[in-house]
Amino acid sequence: MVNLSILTGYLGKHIKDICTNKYVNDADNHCAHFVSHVMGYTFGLTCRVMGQAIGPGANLRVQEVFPKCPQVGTWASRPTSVTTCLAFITNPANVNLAGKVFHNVPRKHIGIYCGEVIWHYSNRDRKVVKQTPEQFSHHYAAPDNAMFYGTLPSDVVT
Amino acid sequence: MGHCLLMWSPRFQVHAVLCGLLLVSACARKPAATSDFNVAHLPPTPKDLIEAVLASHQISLKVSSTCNNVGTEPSDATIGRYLAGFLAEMQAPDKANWVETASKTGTSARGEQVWICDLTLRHKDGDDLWGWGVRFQVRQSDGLVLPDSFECLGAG
Repeated sequence: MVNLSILTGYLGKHIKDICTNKYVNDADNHCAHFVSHVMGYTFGLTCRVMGQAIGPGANLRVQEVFPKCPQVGTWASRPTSVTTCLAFITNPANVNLAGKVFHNVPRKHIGIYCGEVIWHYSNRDRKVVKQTPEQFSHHYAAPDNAMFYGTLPSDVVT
Repeated sequence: MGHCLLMWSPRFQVHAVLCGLLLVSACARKPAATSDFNVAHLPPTPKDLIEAVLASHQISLKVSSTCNNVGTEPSDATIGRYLAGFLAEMQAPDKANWVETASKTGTSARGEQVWICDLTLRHKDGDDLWGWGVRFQVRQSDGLVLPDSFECLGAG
């Protein structure tokens, strides 16, 4: 289970310090990649397949992580009992909560909510950062800044 | 792997994106009937590689598990429709958009010597950063594009 100590260890790191499979091009988006390395999500398309198959694989795509979450909803609807979960941001039109579908659109992002902040990989700054949910809500300009939560996927099998 | 970056000026970008979009999407809804396509040069040039992708637009996204749900819309079913979705996101003249191509030697699943070719559409605007594209193989003996070799590249 992820915790503050684990996440603090990632703070400020570049993806090359996290991914041993050398899928580390700064021109690629590493948001889901970072989350999957931390959480051990080896399902779907991984850096082990797309990179050099040296270390454990980690999923690369937000639209593959989202449906694995047992429970999803708007950020505002997140139960108070859910204190650690995944955080997503995109245009609300890109998300079908009932079908648990997240479209593969350009402006979408994912992080880990833990300790009342969201830990995520800033592709702009090329490092892991932490922000309050309010700060995270400005990751994209409106209307691409609707936030969603997803409880942690338990199935981490490829 | 050799790399080629085609940086687009805003004016060229608009024309190129529109032309590419039209070419890729014009027949995207026709029944899939992929015909053989051979690249013009070996090793393929960036232009040959892009032409090969345009010629392969009807290939189904079912060609590879790497292409599961890569379309910008759930109904996207072909390589052409998938790439058209991201080309359509490259229209803002004040953003950084570029096409990246690369190729290297390799071996196909059938043991043939091939060129492994990548085409990636890239965009960078602050936190709005992405690169989506395709990887495919070109048989070295005759330049044939191997339709069943297509994979979808991209993360995020």
